[in-house]
Amino acid sequence: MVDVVIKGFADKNEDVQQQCLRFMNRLLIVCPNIVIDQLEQLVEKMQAIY
Amino acid sequence: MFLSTVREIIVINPKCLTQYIQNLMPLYLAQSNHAEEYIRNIVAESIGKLFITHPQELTPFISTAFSSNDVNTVATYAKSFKYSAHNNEQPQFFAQFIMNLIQLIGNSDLSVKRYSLESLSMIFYNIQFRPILEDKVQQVIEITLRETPVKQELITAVDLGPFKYNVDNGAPIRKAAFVLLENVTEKYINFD
Repeated sequence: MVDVVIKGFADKNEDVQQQCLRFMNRLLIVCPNIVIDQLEQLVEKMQAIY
Repeated sequence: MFLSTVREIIVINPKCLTQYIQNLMPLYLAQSNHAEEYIRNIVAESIGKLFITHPQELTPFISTAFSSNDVNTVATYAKSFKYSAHNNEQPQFFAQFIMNLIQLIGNSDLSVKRYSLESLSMIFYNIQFRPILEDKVQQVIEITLRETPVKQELITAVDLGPFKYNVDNGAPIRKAAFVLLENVTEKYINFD
């Protein structure tokens, strides 16, 4: 699921992007270790967009 | 105007409509496939809010609507659960419709897909429904994950003369899918 949310950052629709950001905030609270495991992929995706 | 008036009565005092439910529901069923979206929205909201106070009386009518061949009717009734799930403390009446809504995520019509995702989001957000939802979490996650990727076939190009503009009809569905996944994650998945 974390992987899907990270892919959602690259969505061209702003509403979907913002929803994915909200979702990622939630995931960082409930399962930080799983998110941190995929940090590299997350940073890569964020750099491509922002 | 009539539908708006009845909706206001439902919002203020739904109990006073008890004796008229049998007359109202065929009217709602007939208007649920109206060409105008705002009429369908009023119908969805009215049915949803009536379902909170009169679940037993409405159940046969909702079952009939879900088996309809008209996509607007199915979409309207799928949307109605969005209005009845919030703060509802009678999960037993929802149980038989949860599977309908889960199956409707796979419907080819975009409105049906979107409204079933939105209704399920509200249902999963209400923690009172936990007993009837726990065994369906895995199934919902699997089906919803299929709705998250961008689908090129849903993107249409609109020609505005000097330039072209792409309309992504799949965006509201992807957003609804992510909201549902967020609610399921928050309320039902234990990461410890």
